[in-house]
Amino acid sequence: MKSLNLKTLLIVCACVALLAGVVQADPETERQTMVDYFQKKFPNVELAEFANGIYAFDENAREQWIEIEDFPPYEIAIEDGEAFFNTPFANGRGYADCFENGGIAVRQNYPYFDSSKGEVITLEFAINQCRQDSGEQPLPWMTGELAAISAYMSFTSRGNPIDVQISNDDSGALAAYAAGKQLYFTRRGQLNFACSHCHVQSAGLALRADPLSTTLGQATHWPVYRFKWGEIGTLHKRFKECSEQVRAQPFEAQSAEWRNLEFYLTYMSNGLEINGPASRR
Amino acid sequence: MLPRSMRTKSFVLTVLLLSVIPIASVADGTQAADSIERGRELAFDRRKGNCLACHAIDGGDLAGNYGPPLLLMKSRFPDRDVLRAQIWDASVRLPSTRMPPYGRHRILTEDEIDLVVDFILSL
Amino acid sequence: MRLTILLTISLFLSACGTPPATYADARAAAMTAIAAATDRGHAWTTSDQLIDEADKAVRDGNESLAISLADEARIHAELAVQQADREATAWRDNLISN
Repeated sequence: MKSLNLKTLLIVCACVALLAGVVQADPETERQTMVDYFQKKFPNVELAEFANGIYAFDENAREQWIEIEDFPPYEIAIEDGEAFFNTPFANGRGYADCFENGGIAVRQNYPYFDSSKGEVITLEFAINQCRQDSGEQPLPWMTGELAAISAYMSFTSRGNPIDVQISNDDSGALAAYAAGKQLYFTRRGQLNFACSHCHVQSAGLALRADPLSTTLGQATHWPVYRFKWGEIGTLHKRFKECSEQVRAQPFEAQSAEWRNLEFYLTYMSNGLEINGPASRR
Repeated sequence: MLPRSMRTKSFVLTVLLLSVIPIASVADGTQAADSIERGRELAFDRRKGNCLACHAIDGGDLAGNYGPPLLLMKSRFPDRDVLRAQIWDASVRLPSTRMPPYGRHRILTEDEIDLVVDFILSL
Repeated sequence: MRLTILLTISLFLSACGTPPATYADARAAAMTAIAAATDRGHAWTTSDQLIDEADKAVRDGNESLAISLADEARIHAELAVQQADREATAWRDNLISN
């Protein structure tokens, strides 16, 4: 009788551990699941090509896009961004002083989880943090000067594989990743869509004439010059647009919610090369 | 010859009668055609049904392929109520559906859903 | 006796005659519901748009339309909270597995 109880207890323990394992699946396994899912869905698309969004699988759109890339509409933003980046603050310091390697070729390491602050630091967040640490006003998050600086920093990082680190014993980072994941799969807005409905299950299908991009590769190419916008904008500008399209009240740009989302989304693109800034329809 | 006022009256009466008779005889057909047309407008309007975002529909431009094309709807939905329920909240039958719950989330009014159902069943 | 009559009358009045809703009441109820949906991170853009339309209707002197628009905004916010409740667990159904 006693041994039976012990057995039951052990089984219960094992079940609880298994459940906990399911709930707290490790990011690397989940990323691999995502990669496998899309490689099955698009057997003719090379893994590296997913960094090009819909142009990885939409032949017609790809031809136009390649032509556009001959005279890329984001070129001015890179030049402006470089000038902004190299203009010292009033206190004599500059952006280069805030980042590893003087801020050159570092985008692949963002976002990261700052354990001392207990929050996700995106590149844009770090840019404004850098300004504020030197007594400068923060820049608006979604377009303009900040997007240009971000574009320049992406440009210097092109070709570097995304390397977002989440250690399995960093509970803070795991919690931020889990929160981002939950948001990605949660139905929101009057139209009741989760990000995943369009960009996982229905990726590659078209809404009206616009094919939907895949989760894999969604984080490689920011900021983006979108012809629909007529300007260069950051990933959080796109989050806002997506939210409004499903009629969900958007979170604030660089809110904790969206930084967590970016953390999850970028982790899913780990190993793909930074190819920002980019142009999109 | 009738006095002028009487003549006018009888003329008006004749016109009224002539105009009422044909309307009465085709009223049902006109009404149905009218609700199909209003249903079509709601279905194509991006701010209303926006059905074309996901479904190919005869007569609609720039249709998506997110959902199946809307063809032969009368044979696919012999029971009007089943189609109406599907548009009202598709998740009742299929929890994982990606179709917005037009009725439950009040994307369209009940009257608008009826018109859209009329239109969809005409396809 | 007099008191009984008075009580009866007042009870009767309160039972059959709910005071006519004012736009201020309808709007306040909607704003409370929207705040609850926002707290859950699930508010819809439609609620705010309906409130804007309702405010405009009041400025145009159409209080009954304004009240029905504010009521609609409140209902949207209540549906958004229901969505948040459902999705607290239902989001897992959208996950992929191999």
